[in-house]
Amino acid sequence: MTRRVRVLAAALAATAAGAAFWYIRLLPPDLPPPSTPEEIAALQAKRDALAERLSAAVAAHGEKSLKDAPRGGIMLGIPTGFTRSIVQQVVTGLFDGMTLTLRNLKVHHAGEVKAKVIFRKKVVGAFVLDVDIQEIKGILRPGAPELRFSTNRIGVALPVRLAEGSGRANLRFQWDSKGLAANTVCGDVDTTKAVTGGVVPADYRLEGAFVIGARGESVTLTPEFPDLAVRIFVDPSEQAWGVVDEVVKDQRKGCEIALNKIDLKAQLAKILGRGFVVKIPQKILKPVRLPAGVTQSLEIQGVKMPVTVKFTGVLVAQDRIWYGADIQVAGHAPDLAKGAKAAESR
Amino acid sequence: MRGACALVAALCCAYAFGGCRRRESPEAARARAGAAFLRQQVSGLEALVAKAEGEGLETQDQIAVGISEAVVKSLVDASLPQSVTLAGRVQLTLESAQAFFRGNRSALALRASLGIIDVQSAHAKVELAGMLKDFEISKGKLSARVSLIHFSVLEASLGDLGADAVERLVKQNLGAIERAIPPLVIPVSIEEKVRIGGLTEGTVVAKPGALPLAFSVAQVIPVRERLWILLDAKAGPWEAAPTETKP
Repeated sequence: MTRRVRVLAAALAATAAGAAFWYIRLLPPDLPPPSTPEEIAALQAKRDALAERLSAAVAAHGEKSLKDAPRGGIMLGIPTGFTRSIVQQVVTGLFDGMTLTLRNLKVHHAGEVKAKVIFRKKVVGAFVLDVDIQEIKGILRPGAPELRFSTNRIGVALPVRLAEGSGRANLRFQWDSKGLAANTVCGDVDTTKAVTGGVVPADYRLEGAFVIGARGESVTLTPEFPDLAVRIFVDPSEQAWGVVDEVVKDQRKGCEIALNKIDLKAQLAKILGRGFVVKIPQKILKPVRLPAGVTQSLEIQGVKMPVTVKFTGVLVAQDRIWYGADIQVAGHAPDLAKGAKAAESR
Repeated sequence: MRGACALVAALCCAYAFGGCRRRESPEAARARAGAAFLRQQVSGLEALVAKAEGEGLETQDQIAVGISEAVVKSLVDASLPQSVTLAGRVQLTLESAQAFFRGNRSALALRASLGIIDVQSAHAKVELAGMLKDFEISKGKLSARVSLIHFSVLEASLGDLGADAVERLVKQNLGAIERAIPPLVIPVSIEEKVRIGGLTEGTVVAKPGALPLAFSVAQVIPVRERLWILLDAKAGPWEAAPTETKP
């Protein structure tokens, strides 16, 4: 009897459990009802209104050009402040310590000296002054560049100072006395002396522009600058002037008078006073590629995927330079799964 | 007495089966998830608007990289399918992706199929949802990883019980699935230096040099179907290189 009751109880329990399981199983999910289409629409409207408000707030805080930026799958906005910093540092870096070197320049100057001999003026001698400049080196130092952003270019005005320099030359002076009297008093002179000098500091201004354009996958600044002509004026040193004095003083007294008429110092200053022109070519400034661009290939887990870039536009605004492009990734499915590890059995 | 205990145990089990209630239809589950995502977007936007209106959103000095949802979808899709074996006998294959950059939320939904190895008739469709995280720039590449936060079984050939088992399996192996998703590499090149050649010919000698650049991810703002990654950028100082002299 007891055994029968037990079996019956177990059967009842199993039936009750099964019934309970299926009852619960058939109940609707224990979740609140999903949102109605009206509720969803209200949420979307609220989201869109907030997004509009965000755009307005962002524009009010400086992002003024965002609304005009060229659209594309990828948009890059490079702040003008950052571009300015790059251009300023590249231009000044390139000009800082730029050296202008002139070698083997020869300057020739000749003339005659007339003096009153007894009753009339006569040519008493002819002189030749040759300056053989072995080397003049000038060093440039840039000032702070002024940049001006416009539609598609960055105007640059760079103050450049020819700050220092040095040079060395051989000074050859020849004197040919004319006539018996002059030859008797003075004779001929041919002397060569080594002289040194510096460079007269001078200021220049390099003006040009970088044209902003999209070259392939990035924004490039292409320089448009004229050649810059720098005139180097040599400043003879004290030693050089001393040498000129020596040339005259080394002669006999009568000769000194004749040579003083030449005024060698004035002649030398006249020769050097014209200066020597050095042209800094335009090619010194190279195109500058802005550091953010779109790539033409991607590598994911060791697999290279070509990317087709279709440029959509560039906008130069006061706050940013915008670049837009649409991209298309080659539609192949690399077998990356080989690299993926199987999950541990749990 | 024993019978009574068994009955109580059975009823307790039945009560515990409350977790095994009828599954919600995929449509209802999607509508619920959609509404939850919208609420998150609204709250995310409210926070962002408050920040922007309170002058706490500084972007002007940062490089802005904006990528559309479509581009991210094509990037992720190009790296699919990806397969991962779960528990030694179930193969999950990630098949397609959909990106959502709205309301300060960067979500990625992935569709996957699931099959039992050697049992062709058993299969299921799973939807996984993740967020983009760990944005970084390394060696000129901008990338992010996907962090899975949610999944749901859309259909299962073995009915609700099979769907429950799939859910448990996916839940247990979420980390492994996450690791199988390739990192999102954004097709943007970030140069680490601007190199400028010098001039060593003729009377003018200019030293070549380089301008080092430093970038870091400052903030990520997913809004209006576009993911905005804002980078802090610093240039300089200029490094002059030794002049190359011609032999």
